[in-house]
Amino acid sequence: MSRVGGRRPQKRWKQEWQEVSEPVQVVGNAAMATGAIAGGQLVPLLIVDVADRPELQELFRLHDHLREGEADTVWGSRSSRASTVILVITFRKPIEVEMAIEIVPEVHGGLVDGILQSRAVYLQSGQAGDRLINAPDAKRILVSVTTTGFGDMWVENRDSALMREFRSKGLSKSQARVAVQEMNNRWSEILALRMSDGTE
Amino acid sequence: MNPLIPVVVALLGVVIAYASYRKGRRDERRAEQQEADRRPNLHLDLRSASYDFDSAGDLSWKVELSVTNRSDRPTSVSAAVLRAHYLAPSGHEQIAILGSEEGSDPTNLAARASELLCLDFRAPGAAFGRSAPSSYELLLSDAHGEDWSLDIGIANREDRS
Repeated sequence: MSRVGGRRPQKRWKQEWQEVSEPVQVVGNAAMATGAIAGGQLVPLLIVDVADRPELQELFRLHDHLREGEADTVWGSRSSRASTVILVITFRKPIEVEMAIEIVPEVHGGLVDGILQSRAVYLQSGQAGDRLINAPDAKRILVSVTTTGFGDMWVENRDSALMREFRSKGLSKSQARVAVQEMNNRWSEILALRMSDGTE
Repeated sequence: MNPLIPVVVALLGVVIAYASYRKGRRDERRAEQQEADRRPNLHLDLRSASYDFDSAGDLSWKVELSVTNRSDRPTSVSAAVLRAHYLAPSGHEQIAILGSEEGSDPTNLAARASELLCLDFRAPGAAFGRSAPSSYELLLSDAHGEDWSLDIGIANREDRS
């Protein structure tokens, strides 16, 4: 596993997205906690399909050899679908390449909370059906993610998306509100898990 | 009154105005030159560059270059990066960005002074399929945020001897 740290200050949260590469598909997700990373917090893992992006395949391959890298991150959204969140990672070392990851709050909402809390995300290349448990030793990149200006807007965005989702499943407004609260509480409990690094 | 006096006065006025204009232009040019001299202006001159595979299979590059600060303002080189062009296993040309080894980063540059910089870069040979990248670009960043680049050829150390 190799690590990528940010160098430059985080740009401001972008409400509208412009001129980024086509987002890669998130085909699987999980979370990992180790004592040495992010203070033992759960760090989300995104399995992304880069089959048609040779430069991103090369990023994963080269990272396995060169280890340390450098990247900037910025959060954004699509004007055509405001609830969808895009995390854009601009890698500067070992190669210069941009990866935009589209995250749908109704499907992957907890992952964004996890990324915001741990300020990190693991990336692994794979295909639909790949799971962490099937490839525990797969090559991964750990990216440090900055969050300036995004967290508060995300909470509002996430709750609205969840409300719509529960309402579309037939819940009344008050029932949906309770369901959103319960779901957020559940995620908070999960994300509160800590892995000790064994020094205590 | 002599009828030539107004003509002489007018001519004198023109001469004074022209002299004043010339002086203004000269001051302006001098200010521009001083400002240009204060802007970072590094000149890079490659002295030697070579690479080698060590016994562990790592690729190591050694680059020596003379850096001249042509400005009146002291500066420093804050980072050195080697952009290596190579053929990725997928067949497309790719550029790897390699930072210089810790300790080989230069250096303070006094105004109008030159320094010889010795830079080391290293990467696992397997990253490049055990053949060295084909061409290189060296980038130096100075303390004022300017980047300076130099295209360089790097020879195998054994081939050179």
